[in-house]
Amino acid sequence: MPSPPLLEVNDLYVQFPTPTGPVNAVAGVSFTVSAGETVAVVGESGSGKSVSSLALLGLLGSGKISSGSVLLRGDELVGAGREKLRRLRGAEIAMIFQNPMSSLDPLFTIGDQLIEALRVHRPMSRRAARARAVELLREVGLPDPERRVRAYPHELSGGQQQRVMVAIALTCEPALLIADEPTTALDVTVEAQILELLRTMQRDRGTALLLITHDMAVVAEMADRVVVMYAGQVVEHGLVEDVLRDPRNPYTKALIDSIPTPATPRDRPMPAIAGNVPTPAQAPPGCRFHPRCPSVFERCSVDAPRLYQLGETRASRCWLHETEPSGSVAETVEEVHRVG
Amino acid sequence: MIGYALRRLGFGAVVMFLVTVFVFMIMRLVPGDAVSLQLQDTGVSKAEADAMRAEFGLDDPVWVQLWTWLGDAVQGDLGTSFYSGESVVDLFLARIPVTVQLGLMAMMLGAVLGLVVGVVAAATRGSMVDGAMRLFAVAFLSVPNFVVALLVLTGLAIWFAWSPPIVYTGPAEDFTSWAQQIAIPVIALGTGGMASVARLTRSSMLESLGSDYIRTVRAKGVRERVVIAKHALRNSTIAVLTLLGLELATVLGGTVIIERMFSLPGTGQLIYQAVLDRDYPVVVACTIFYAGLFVITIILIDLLYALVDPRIRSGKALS
Amino acid sequence: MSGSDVSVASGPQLADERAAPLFEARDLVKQFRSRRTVVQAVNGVSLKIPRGRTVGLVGESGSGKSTVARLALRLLDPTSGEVSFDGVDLLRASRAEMRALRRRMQIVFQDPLGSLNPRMRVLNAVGEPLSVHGIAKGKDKADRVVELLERVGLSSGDLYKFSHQFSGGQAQRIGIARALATDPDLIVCDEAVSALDVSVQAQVLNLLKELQAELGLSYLFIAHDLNVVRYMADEVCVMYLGEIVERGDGDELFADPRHPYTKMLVSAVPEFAPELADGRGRRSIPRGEPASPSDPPPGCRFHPRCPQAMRRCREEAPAMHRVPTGRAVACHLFDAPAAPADAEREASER
Repeated sequence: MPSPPLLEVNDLYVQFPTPTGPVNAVAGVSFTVSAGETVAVVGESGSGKSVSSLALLGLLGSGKISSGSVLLRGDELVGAGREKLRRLRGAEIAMIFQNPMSSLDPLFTIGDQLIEALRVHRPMSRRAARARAVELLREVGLPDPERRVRAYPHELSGGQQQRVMVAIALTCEPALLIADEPTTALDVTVEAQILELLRTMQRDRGTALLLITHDMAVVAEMADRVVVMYAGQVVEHGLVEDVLRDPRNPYTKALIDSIPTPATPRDRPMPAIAGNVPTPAQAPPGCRFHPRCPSVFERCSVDAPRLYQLGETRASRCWLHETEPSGSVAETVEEVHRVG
Repeated sequence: MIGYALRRLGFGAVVMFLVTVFVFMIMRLVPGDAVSLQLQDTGVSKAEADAMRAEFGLDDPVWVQLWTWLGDAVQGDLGTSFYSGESVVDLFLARIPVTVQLGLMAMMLGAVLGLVVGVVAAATRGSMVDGAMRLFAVAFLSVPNFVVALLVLTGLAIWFAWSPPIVYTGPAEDFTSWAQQIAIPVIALGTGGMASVARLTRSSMLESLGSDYIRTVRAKGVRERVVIAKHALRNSTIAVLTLLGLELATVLGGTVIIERMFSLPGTGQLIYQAVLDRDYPVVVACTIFYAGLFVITIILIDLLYALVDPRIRSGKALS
Repeated sequence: MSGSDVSVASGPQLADERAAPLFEARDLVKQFRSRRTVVQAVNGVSLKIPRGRTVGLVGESGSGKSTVARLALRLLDPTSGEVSFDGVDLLRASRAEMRALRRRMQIVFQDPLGSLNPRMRVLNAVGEPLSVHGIAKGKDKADRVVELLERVGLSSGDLYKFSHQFSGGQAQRIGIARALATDPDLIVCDEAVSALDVSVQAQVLNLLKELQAELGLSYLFIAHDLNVVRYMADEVCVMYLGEIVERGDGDELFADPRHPYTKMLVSAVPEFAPELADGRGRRSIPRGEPASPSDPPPGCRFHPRCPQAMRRCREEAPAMHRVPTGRAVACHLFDAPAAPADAEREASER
């Protein structure tokens, strides 16, 4: 990478207390996001994708970052004071969430919620803030912004609420926008509109986008690079076209195969992955995917594989790469002893 | 909003009417009337008793009595006490201020302190402060108000050799004496409410603090102080308002005992004595007064709901 | 699989040509009335499900697809219209008849954990329909439940567990086992795989297809994911605001959508195939959002969002037109005089 990354997450561990002791929902996750690029973190339930992103800003409820490092422009955020994190939220890193219907305070108007976001980080008169709020609503394509600025969240549709969320996220021109399943709760036609809005916004402002999703199709549509997670770990990352065309990790490959597309033959069974998606507490020893893996061999159930760097821009976590010619062991960002 | 308010008021009027009819009927249907109670063991003949009944109008059919009473009530005449012969309205006007003072202050104490305690407990969740507050809340909830009153009285008497003045004086005549007299009743009546308000505030604050919209507010970089005071608290008030309505019933019920304990000349004492004496006009008037107070509070609370929550204003149900 | 096996709303002469369908709904209308509004959830939906086949319903929220599911099982009574199952008119069936019919039609819901009683063990959750219908009890019931569990890929070891001990995919298998308990002919799958992770979704889809092949089941398969419906269904019906706007074979629907809404829907589905990633952002972005079913637009319900809307669309609701390749489309664009002729020619070709 020519420029230092905007965001650099290194070996992040996030722990949740449970009645049976602490559980690592995220176990040694590393990735980077450069200015202006879109990185997708993709995974199924329990993969830790949302937890990783919420942890960056200290927005987890009971979960805590137990170790690792998060650098924003080289500045360490792990262990930073609450006030420092607060100043970054909204200003440098903004977020939008999965459920627009519940993500806006039902008791305040859209305008009030935008004005609050505008005035939190910079001094601004209420009047100027209101004018800016209307402008922002127009930018995100909300019809009739002068009137809608006085509307309450329940008076808007899900798609319109998500547009408002995007407007709130844009108020302070953040360098990074984290979108956590931004279209999962929306209908497909509205999803397409919101994805388009995110693309336009990113093109016009050069905002970096960290897109958290379970949907490979959304990854294909939106991202430059993709990070595939499984059971709290990164199993593969690389450029989207590389990973989707030629997945190197057995999990990534199986996941892609199991997605129904218009070309899936109807007279044959879907290629499914056997077994169930483990919760973080149930993560098996060795490679976390081994009980479901079609290419499993003895070693997989004993030792946890590390993330092998495969060329400049990709890496995959699988013992197969140990013997594979393309799998160079150099340059791993992983400490094997901490896994499991 | 205005339509909503009018609908609530209309609803309140209907409830009041039904309460009136119900109370009136019940009182008349209970065996043993005021006359037989007054005349028992006096050896008065049945004929004389019937004459007295006729004088009070007690020999008419119940619905005729009801109709007469309603007609008078609309004109501001709630009848006269069977005992003292005083007009019920006068009896009331003299006693209402005490009960209203007592009730209002107890409610205020419960609401304000309860909210503060609840918010602090929620904001410091899991800490010692939170634990202590929850423990006290449970304690106050489980102890009846007259026991609280007795404990406070005894405690003050033992440790400070102090007890409140016995004869009631109005706040205008002697403020210090009034304050000393009314403080313990207010505390006794208010603590139960405070405990329930605190508990509910804490739990609905926690629910609100864990919600998606609070996450959004935090993601905007808003200070935690503002997150709690502006967004979480306001969203929690909806649940607390409902509780306050119910709390009023407890407080009003409590005044009956507490006013007697502290010999406060309020409506609570009035109704207590009137029930013992089967002094119909007073009992009916008292019951209707209490019901009216309750209905008005409920309407006020409904209006406050609408003020707080735009979804209610626009007629959408709470989701 | 050709679309010709699958009947579409048709006149009596067509119905005579084929075996009676297992399930038929004609012109179903369902309105929910509240104090101020009338929600027109379903507005004139007709469906036929042949034996051993799958009819898919796809649509966005508010399209009325779940209401159709409930109407089909008579969990709701329609405002008007007819529903028949195996030749019996469900709306006129006696209590006893209805009870007997209920054994033969079952439903699988979206939220597998939420639709199972958390205090019930698997034995009773799956065996409940057996007890309710007096089919089996005691050891017979347990044997049958074990058989059902094994059928859906669980084991007798799961018999005494509670639903919260299962993952989403396993819980959905329990839901399917429960639906199978009474040996039904028709299973309505209402978003049955929508809450599942992709890798598990594929397993459940396969299971449903296996069961169909083995037991000759018919499915009414409802989902919002067009790809999933295409994979499962012999005939796909696209719903918009309570109406079926287009129906036909899934592949053809995808390859050549006729109704402007189907076109919008197909182009809105994100493409994940990497070779298509180059065309990123070039496809047309759908406009607008669906209107509220409590205040549907006059004329064609899709006209406010339709790029090809004409004056006529605002005034007159389009009728269902048959178009070549076994398709039916409710759109004024197909009103041209040629269209009915096409439909007839196509019908005579069969």
